[in-house]
Amino acid sequence: MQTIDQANQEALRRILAGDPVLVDVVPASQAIPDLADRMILHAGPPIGWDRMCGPMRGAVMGIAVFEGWAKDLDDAAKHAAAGSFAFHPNHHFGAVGPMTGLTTASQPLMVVENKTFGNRAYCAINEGLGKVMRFGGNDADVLTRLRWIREVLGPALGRAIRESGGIPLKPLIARGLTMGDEMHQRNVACSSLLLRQLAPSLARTSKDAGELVACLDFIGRNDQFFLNIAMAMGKALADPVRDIAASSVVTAMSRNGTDFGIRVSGTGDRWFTAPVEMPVGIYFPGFSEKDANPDMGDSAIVETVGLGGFAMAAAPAVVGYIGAGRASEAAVFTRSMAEIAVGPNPAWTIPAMDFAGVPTGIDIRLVVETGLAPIINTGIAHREPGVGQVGAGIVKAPLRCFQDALVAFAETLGVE
Amino acid sequence: MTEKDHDVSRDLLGAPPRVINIGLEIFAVNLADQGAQVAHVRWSPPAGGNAHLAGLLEKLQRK
Repeated sequence: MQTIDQANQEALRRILAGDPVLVDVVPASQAIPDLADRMILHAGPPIGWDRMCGPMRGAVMGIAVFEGWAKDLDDAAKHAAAGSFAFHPNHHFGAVGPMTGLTTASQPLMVVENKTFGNRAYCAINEGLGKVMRFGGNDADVLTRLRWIREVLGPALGRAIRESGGIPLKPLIARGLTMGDEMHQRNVACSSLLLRQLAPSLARTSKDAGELVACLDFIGRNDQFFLNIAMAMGKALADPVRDIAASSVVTAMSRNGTDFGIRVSGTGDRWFTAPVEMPVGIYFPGFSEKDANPDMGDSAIVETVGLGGFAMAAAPAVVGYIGAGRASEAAVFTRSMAEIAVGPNPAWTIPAMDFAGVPTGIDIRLVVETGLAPIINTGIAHREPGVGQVGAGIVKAPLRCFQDALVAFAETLGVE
Repeated sequence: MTEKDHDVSRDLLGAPPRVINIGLEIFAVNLADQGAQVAHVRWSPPAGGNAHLAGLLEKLQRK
């Protein structure tokens, strides 16, 4: 049997060997055949309606109306409380979703294929900022936008991506890191690079000039458009790392607004959970920490593969945006995350750190030993259903998840 | 005590302090606030002093 260090080197090798390519946009029912009617996939570890936070409930109510399972939001809440919907984590179906992260049958999902290992991962299309469903928004504007994404943008993107032959994401991310993105709270460069690459294909495959303009305008105005692609890419890179015997590398970090959960390669698909923490950050005008919901979303999959808070040094501008201190302190975050990672990623480097690779492969042993919790850059949702995003900040993964995981991991090796 | 040791001792007492602080950062911050040259080394007991977890980590080193 291999040693823990050998197993972790294999985990790192698999992450680094991955070749993620954006290959398609298809309806969720096609991407995930097991996604049945009245089934709702959500961010984070498993949770039922009774323990869901406000924005998660708000999104569930909205998506039920969107899918035609309820006549209005109140009706949707009654159905949810009565057990009419089956709730499951995105992660159990090869998918991820930001914030509330709801995935249902008729939504279009972006498909990222890891060409090296042949696995696919999925994520819905980013709706933009402010009052959106991923932050718990559920009014008529939110649902109208989601219908347009389903009926116009999703199919148009699918045609364009297929026509382009697919968008290799590894070199795109490498370039984005040199242009100030960390791929969690800053995706300006990668969103722009993607649009530059996709625009000709969008134009060539467009059936309607007005719709083409609307698609280009929607993507062009959304600095976070690339986030959901980065997340699907993170999931596509992390999944081949699952189930390596004796590996203490984290394969998923995720939050449902109530619980934070992690999965570890050597302990299979078991979740280790603890209460989520409250982000520390900056609030939009008119809002404060009193309005904030605790940490939420599958988006920490980008930190799991070395981006987001782990790549903070690449994005000094984001340090100010999320209220994490001075821009000159950005490298401190990345250096401290290197202390809990298996090794650097030579394909994704940071110019401001003499082209050091982003710290990759979180080792639960190092987290527990040092007490350094993974840093996650995140958006902040309003605690009440239906309001939306109120700020952005950083949050630490709860150490208890890693401590409990260490005990279980040791048991798999006969250590007590 | 050699002549070299004597010179070192004299420098230590006569020159401004140059401090390496290990562990509690507040000591380094206070010294720096008073103008002392100080390098801080972040250190804490393994697993925050949790004996059970520290024991597991030690045993896992042999795996």
